[in-house]
Amino acid sequence: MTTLNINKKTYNLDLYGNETLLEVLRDNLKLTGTKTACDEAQCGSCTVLIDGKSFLSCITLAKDVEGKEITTIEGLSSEEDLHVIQQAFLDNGAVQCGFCAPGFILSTKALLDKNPSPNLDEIKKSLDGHICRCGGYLKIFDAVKDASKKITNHDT
Amino acid sequence: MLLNPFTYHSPKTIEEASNLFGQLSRARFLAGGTFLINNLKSLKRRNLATPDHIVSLKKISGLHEIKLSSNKLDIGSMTTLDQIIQNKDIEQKYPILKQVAENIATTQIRNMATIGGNVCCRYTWAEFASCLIALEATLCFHEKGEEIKVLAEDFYKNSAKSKGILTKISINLQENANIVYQRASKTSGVDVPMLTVCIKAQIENKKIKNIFFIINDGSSFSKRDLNVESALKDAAIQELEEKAINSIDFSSYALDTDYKKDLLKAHIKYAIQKLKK
Amino acid sequence: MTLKNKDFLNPVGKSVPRIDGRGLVTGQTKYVFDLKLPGMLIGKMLRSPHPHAKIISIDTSKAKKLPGVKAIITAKDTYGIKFGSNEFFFPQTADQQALESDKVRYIGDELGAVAATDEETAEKALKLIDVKYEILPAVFKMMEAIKPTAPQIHNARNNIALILPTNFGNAERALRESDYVREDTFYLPSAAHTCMEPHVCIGQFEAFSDKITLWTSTQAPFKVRETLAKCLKMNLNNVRVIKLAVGGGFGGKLEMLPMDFASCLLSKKAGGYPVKITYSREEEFSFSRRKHPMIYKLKSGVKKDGTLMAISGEVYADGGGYCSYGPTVLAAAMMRILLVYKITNMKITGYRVYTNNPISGAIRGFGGVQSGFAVESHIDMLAEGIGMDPIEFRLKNITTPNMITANKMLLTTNGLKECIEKAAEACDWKNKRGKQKNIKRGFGIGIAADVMGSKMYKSHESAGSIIKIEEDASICFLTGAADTGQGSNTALSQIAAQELGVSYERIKITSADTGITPFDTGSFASRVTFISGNATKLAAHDAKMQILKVVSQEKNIPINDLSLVAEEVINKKDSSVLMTFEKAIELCYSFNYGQQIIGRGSYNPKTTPVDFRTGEGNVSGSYGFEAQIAKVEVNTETGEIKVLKMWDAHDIGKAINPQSVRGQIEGSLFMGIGYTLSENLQFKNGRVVNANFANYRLPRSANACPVESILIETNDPEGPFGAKGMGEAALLPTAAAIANAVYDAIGVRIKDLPITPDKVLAALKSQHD
Repeated sequence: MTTLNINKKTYNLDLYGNETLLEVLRDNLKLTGTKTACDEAQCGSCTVLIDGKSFLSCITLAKDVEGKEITTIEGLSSEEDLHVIQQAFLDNGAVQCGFCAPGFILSTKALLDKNPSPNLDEIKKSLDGHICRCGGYLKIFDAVKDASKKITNHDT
Repeated sequence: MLLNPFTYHSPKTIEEASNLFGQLSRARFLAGGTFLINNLKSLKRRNLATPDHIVSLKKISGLHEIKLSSNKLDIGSMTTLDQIIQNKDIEQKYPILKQVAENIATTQIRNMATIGGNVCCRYTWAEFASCLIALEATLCFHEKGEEIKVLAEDFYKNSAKSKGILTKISINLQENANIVYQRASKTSGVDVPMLTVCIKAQIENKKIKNIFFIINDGSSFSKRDLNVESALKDAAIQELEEKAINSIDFSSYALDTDYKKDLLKAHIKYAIQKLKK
Repeated sequence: MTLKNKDFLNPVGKSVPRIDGRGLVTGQTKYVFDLKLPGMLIGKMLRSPHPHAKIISIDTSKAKKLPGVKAIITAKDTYGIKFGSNEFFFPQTADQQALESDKVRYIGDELGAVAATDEETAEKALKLIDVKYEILPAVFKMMEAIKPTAPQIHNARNNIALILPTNFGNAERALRESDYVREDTFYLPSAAHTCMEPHVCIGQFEAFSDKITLWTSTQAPFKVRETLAKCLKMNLNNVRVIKLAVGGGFGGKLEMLPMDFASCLLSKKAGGYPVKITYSREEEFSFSRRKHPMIYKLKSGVKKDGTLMAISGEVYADGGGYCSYGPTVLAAAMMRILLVYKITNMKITGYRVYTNNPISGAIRGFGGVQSGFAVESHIDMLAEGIGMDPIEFRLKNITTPNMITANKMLLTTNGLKECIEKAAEACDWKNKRGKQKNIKRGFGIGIAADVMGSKMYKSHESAGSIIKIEEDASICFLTGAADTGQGSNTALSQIAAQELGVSYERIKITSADTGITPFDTGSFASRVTFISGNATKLAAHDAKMQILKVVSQEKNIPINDLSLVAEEVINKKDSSVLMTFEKAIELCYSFNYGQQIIGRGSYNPKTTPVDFRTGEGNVSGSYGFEAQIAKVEVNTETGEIKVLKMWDAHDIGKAINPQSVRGQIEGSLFMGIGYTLSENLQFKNGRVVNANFANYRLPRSANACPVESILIETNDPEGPFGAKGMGEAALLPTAAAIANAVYDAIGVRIKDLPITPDKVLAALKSQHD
């Protein structure tokens, strides 16, 4: 029995042991917000947060993250309200086809949790593990800056 | 199922891991997983044999620590690249390690990948090799209950082969040495480097002493270029670039195009410029 | 319903949030990639490992016996019908079967498919199918393929599927009369779409009900339906193609692929259970579609005073094993020149060549990207030849508003001059170019024109929309247009709301479901805002008139005196508010009227048929224009090129949603930068060698340079609220803008893409020698 803590819920799963975390999320738990755009650890669409840091779930074994706090995109918003980062992505036109969005949004959360006021270079660097083919990144940077402003204003 | 079936093991001590590995056939160690899991997928796709057992090193206590004393640094083999980047002591005393770590792959990979995995992966372009050679690092392996120490330089001369489990990397503080690192990626942005240049030198009275000049051409493991080192011994600072470039035997490297040769020359120049600062 | 946001009144021109955005940022929206249905089976395609071979026999007996295998199909299970996405105007290009029966023509060519309970079983089954091939000699290089001695791939002579000739005016004489003539050849590589969501479909064929449902990641569900129905000999109303959220298309999802067909037929054979086929990323790179590699030869002449006299040349496009959208790609690669430059003498012949490489199809820009690089670099060189500033030269020779081109394209609004001037002004061209102390910096310009849809696929190119107003005054908007991320759902909803006179909040959209929505040719050629937008505007107008008719009757006021604006029904005569929109709807549904409000609109752009023997014809209802300037820095020691900034001035008619427009410009432009500097889909003996993201280099966040986009609103009289389309154009001039900037920086011309550091160093070296 493998116990996984995902989005603050506990799941007891009967796993073979060779499952990637991505498979468990999408196939066993039907949490399809995390995507598989490449399955070779290059595109970032499978990004989840593990103990607050961004990880690629396509190269993480599910059994390796027992006891860790796993957050997927589904765990970011409350039942009806969007997280400030999700809202910022919408407000700034940072979402086009949306396939890459969950990954970017989670990486943004990891960044802003650690560094609430990143400069552009820090933003570019922390998002270097993601590919966006539709939008070209600039509006994503705007969204991160916008979310950063809102988060730091809220705290002061 | 994305990966072929295997039995997952998660030992809690290094002895347990070592014994387990000795008993099991067709077993592989799992460190950060940034190389292994993709490899397993690739092997399956190409209908090649995959391991029956995966022994995860993640739960072994004592391998994730960075210990700094006044003149020595010990980095546990399972320390992630992100831990290395975030560590203030390393930033202050051994900044070259941070410089190398922060340019490897992407943020997520740096959160997952371990320095041990980078050292033992046997990919010739893996980047810690050069700076560990420059730092004259000692690699500590646990082999059949014994602790075996190997100098990094010797380890890479032996094609990064090892029999035991890497437990930690020890580096003695080198007081007056400057270490610089220069990498040329294939295309701008995130990428595996095409070639790297790492130079360590002490500069006294505007002359070079104790130089380590390490080149990695992507196809072979990092090694010191002894021709360049002897040419630069006691050389004056202003002559460094010219002497370095003139003393390189380009044919000893896998530089099959003029472009790669030019690139190496340019990055040697940049590395030396960094050194002068 | 309670309206929450005043900003959503009169939404056209405002950057309202994406109508479908909340589901995307929460991961709640399902793509076909995520969809699982009860009883679903997994399908896999049987592909040829050989680039060219005869199929001698296929033995599926062993595979059939494998437990878990539910269906296997090969060509003998089909009607053997051939299709081609451009077959309406070019019947000879109907050269592909859903499952090949006689020959395979590229590595990956599909000749069968398997459905099983799980992926592993399906893959095992594929390996158990015994195919006997007679291997034929293959040809991979275009210029080899056109030789009479080359292996014959189809029935086309010299493997040339199509020749598109153009000959306007007298190019030869004009060249003789020129003061400066030059010849250049440009080499354009292949590229991949790299949509984040790979190709994926689920087909369900309930044979006894004569019903097919196909969920597929597509830009053109109606096109898929048409081809599917053709191949299965079914009526259109029995084939339902449903588009969910799509993770990018870029031209790679504009047609039926064998996987769509196979998933349906497998389902039929498996008793009606749905069958899902998903491409891996490797399959996506290797076996879907790719950009046409091209060889672009140009010979042009100018007079000393800067008059562009003639452009002549030849274009060779490597089409791979089948035609797909090859003809339109080739046509677009040639015709755009006349949209941009006001020349009367042009003689260019285009050849689409078969090779045993994977299929080249439509990809964003449709040939305009390749021609953009070639023509704009060439033009720059012509300007230099007579010592004229590149911008001055462009301004002297560009097309104008309200003119007819040499090939009879009717240009109405044309903001090209303004685009060039604004871009030049924004980057301070006059003062900065060539005058930077740091000689490694450069500025270059590229200009382009884009078509808003083009009737090159069938007799009509209409779009349709329906607006259904519910009893509580909320609105169901149905349109055939396919949103693949570019924001058409949002823009069209804005148009609907604006025309109807209600808040954008009221609109709920269902799009691109062939069973429910009206027809639409699809998302391509930047057509949706213009064509589908007009259909939407008409539907909204129709609904509005139905409402006002009821109000007119009730209030006894002539309908022409009534208007519906910003949620209010107004008496135009005295500007009094008669009632709110909600009250008006209540009235419509009230006892005395019981009038359902169902607005409908159909729009077909006014074009003239293109005569493909000459290239004449007004192919689109509107044309978009733009100018791009690049500032680059070149490291002459490593050859590395860094794009420091891009300026893009874009004539979009009117920005329905400015934020979406800028998002499209930026995305398109970065795709252009990728093609210029690092993207190169490489082949060896017909096989893609860099079929992964590690080796096919896309621009990443670290490469992202600032982009200043300038929107020029020329208010097209035909477009909805003045809007033209956009979406592709920002890809067209990028390569040339960067290449011209590299030249400005270091005096080196590079004529083949991508411009990689090794080419820069090699060119610098040869300059010194």
